[in-house]
Amino acid sequence: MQNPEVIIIGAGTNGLAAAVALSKAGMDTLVLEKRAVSGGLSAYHRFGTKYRIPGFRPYPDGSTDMLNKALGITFPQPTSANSTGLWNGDSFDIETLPELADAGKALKTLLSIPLKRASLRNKMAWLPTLLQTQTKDLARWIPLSCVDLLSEFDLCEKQYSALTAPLYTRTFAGPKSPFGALQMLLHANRNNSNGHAVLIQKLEAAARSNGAVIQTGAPVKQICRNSSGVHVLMQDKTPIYARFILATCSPAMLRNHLLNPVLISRWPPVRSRGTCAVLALAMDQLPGWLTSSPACCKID
Amino acid sequence: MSSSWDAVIIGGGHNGLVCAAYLARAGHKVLVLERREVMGGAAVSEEVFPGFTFSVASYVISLFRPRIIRELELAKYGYQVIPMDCAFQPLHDQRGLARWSDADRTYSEISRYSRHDAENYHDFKRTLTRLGRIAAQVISRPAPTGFSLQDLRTHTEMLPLIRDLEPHELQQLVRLLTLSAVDFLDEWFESDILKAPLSASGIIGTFQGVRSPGTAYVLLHHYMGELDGAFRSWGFARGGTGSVSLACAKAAQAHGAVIRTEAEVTQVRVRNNRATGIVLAGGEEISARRIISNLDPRRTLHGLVGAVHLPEDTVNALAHFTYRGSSGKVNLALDGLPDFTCRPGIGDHLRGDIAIAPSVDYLEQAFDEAKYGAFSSRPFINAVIPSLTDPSIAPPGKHVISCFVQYAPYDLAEGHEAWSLQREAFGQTVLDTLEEFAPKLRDHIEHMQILTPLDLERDFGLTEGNIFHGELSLNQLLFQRPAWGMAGYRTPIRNLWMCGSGTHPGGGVMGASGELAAKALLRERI
Ligand SMILES: Cc1cc2nc3c(=O)[nH]c(=O)nc-3n(C[C@H](O)[C@H](O)[C@H](O)COP(=O)(O)OP(=O)(O)OC[C@H]3O[C@@H](n4cnc5c(N)ncnc54)[C@H](O)[C@@H]3O)c2cc1C
Ligand SMILES: Cc1cc2nc3c(=O)[nH]c(=O)nc-3n(C[C@H](O)[C@H](O)[C@H](O)COP(=O)(O)OP(=O)(O)OC[C@H]3O[C@@H](n4cnc5c(N)ncnc54)[C@H](O)[C@@H]3O)c2cc1C
Repeated sequence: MQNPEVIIIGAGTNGLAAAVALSKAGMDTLVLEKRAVSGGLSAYHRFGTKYRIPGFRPYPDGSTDMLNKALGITFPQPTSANSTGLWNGDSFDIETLPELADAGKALKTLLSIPLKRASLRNKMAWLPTLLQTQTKDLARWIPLSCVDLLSEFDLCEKQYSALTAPLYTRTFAGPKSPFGALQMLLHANRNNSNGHAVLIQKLEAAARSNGAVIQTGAPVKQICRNSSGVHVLMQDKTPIYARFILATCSPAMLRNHLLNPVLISRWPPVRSRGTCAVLALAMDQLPGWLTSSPACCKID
Repeated sequence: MSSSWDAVIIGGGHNGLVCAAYLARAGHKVLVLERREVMGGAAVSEEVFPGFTFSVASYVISLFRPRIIRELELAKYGYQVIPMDCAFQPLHDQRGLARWSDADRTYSEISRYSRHDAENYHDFKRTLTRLGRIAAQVISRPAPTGFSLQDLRTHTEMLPLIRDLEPHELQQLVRLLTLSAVDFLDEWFESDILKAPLSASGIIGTFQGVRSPGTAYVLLHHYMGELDGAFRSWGFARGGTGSVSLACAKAAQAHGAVIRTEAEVTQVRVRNNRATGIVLAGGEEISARRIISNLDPRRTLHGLVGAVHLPEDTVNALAHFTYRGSSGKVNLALDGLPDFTCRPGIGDHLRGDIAIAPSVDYLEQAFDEAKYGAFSSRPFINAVIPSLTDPSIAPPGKHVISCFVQYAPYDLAEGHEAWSLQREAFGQTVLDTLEEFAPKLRDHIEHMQILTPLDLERDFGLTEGNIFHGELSLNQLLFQRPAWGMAGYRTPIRNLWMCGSGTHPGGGVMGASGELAAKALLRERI
């Protein structure tokens, strides 16, 4: 293969989605994936001899909509929009707090408008959203903790913990730490949807059909620039040149391994503090509390 | 009963007094009503024990607005602040760390622990000073409350300040507003010994830990003071913090304002959604064209007006305005000076601010206990010995130590009433902690005054013991202090205004709320 126009480092959800978009736009695209399988954090793990588990429980957070529109790929519809807590009582759906869901939508609109290098018109796109009443809620709510945010609504203690636990646990913070509300708002209008295996497969197939090349087992060692241009160095030191390089690995990976530190001395530090672990169980049947839970969603 | 007052101000805290002085200076007939027998509120000096004058609550001055000093000629009335030269942090095993107004001296102190940090310290101060300048502008102006002409002017005045920032400074500003104090400092420094006392300034008066998001911006407070050239710009008011309030009171009186102490207001009279006057504890009624409250929003609107007179929006907003006091105070009268093991003797390191903050984990652990409703068994203590700088406040050879203590959560696990039973234990905990660093301190103690959050509430009228009339969290600042729509010092009740720390720009002995409220009133041409 000739030098590609763009090299994408990493075949996770984001790398593959970019591959679809760029190859669709007619760019000669090469995806380099370190691992033997594509999918990144969304990939299945083998488990025992007969089992596979998904890297995560997929609720692609409204992004399926975006993928639908941008890439023309359709995904299974969500089977359940409920966020359930495991307590004896009614399950609880965040959508029943419409103010919260509305504020969440407004926040997403604001965040999706690029500010840097945006045209004036793009910047002005903030205005209508800013002038909405939700701005008032957002200003008050964003700095709050999860618990303080929920205290503005008429909920019981159990609902508090069920609603907050899935959100703050991904950050290095507790349910009463400020700004937890931000996480809640970002998730306020999410949809639980199944089909993440489908997501990876569909993305991969779409990319390939547009002519993108996806190489697995191909770790990039370094990103370099010399007089002949930008290129990546592979394990065996062979360079691959391209006009653009799109890295989807973590900023820490970029900073610590792939890039010359001199190039990035002015980057703000990015903290990555892992806070969760996964326990997977292979069982001969589902426990009663799971099967009897009305909103329990089935994972493909 | 007099009905000829243009304005009655409820509360003689420093903000109420500043407000009174501005209104009186503009020719209005002003009456100030203070519940206690002394003026000043939390900015007060009292001779608690014979010969010993304590700055009972607030103990250091930095943010007091220079414009007010000028316009009210406060120097003429006794306003004088003596800058502090040093910030000292004793440690168990090393020499401790003292930071001085002299940059070279600070450099060599810090480089004992980290050369890298000593190098960065200067840059850090410069960046924060630049950002602090913006913050200082913000607190000198009314908060924008919408899109009025006045707001537009505020916006346009602020724009050039922001535009002048380098991109990386803007980035720092955003990080300051959202990060925890420790996360922010991690980006600059490696030494825990330096980060601990710096991060402690992020938690003063908050119910948050040094690792809680949103605590970083408070660091700015230390770089926006205006005592020229002084270290961190903090200082002691000569005669104790109360002399700042007294200077404001004298300025007000010089312009004809009348001040009454031991005059507790129990009610604001409201007719047809208009405030018409107030009722005093003895039943006396005083009517006035404008009522201005120096009390916090809850006391003013819930307490004095009553929910029945308020729109539902306001009642909701008041319910969500949080106080959550987290600090206490211990004031000591001594016959000698503390002797710190790590730096023995009576040196200049005792003349400034002394922080018991040996490590970041120490501070975070102090918060852990507070989260579950207990005061810290080894608290963060910010101690000062003002009598070294200003001998007039203690008998010859004797001294005063003022200890600001955190955490002392208002809501104990046993309920806030339990503070009356735990007061003594709290005081002893503070002494135990101090003696870890300065043994035998107890030998020198002649008298001791302990203020729990409950005492702050009962004696000073600080709701839930919050020293700032409501938490200074991002959602309770600027146009949201105390609530959306009320940031212009107005309340939903016509003719009733607010001028205390519960309004923009918030707590601290700044005088800004009083000044800005008075100026907003004067623009109305009362
Ligand atoms: C336990 C867990 C649970 C989660 N639960 C959810 C959930 O329920 N819902 C949800 O929406 N999200 C969830 N997430 C987050 C979500 O999985 C990730 O945010 C998302 O998959 C990231 O996709 P990505 O393409 O950006 O990065 P990745 O998927 O990390 O892709 C990066 C790829 O780059 C490759 N790579 C790295 N370095 C190199 C190199 N030098 N050369 C070549 N290739 C390289 C990696 O092997 C990887 O395949 C969860 C994550 C975890 C870990
Ligand atoms: C322990 C402590 C330490 C502090 N340390 C510092 C510091 O070092 N530096 C700093 O800048 N800030 C400090 N602060 C914060 C600062 O002191 C306050 O934010 C500020 O003094 C508040 O001023 P104010 O005028 O708004 O209100 P206040 O000072 O609270 O004034 C309100 C006044 O109203 C009176 N009052 C209450 N109810 C009634 C009634 N019903 N009728 C009539 N009068 C009434 C009160 O007695 C009081 O005098 C500290 C505060 C505390 C409590």
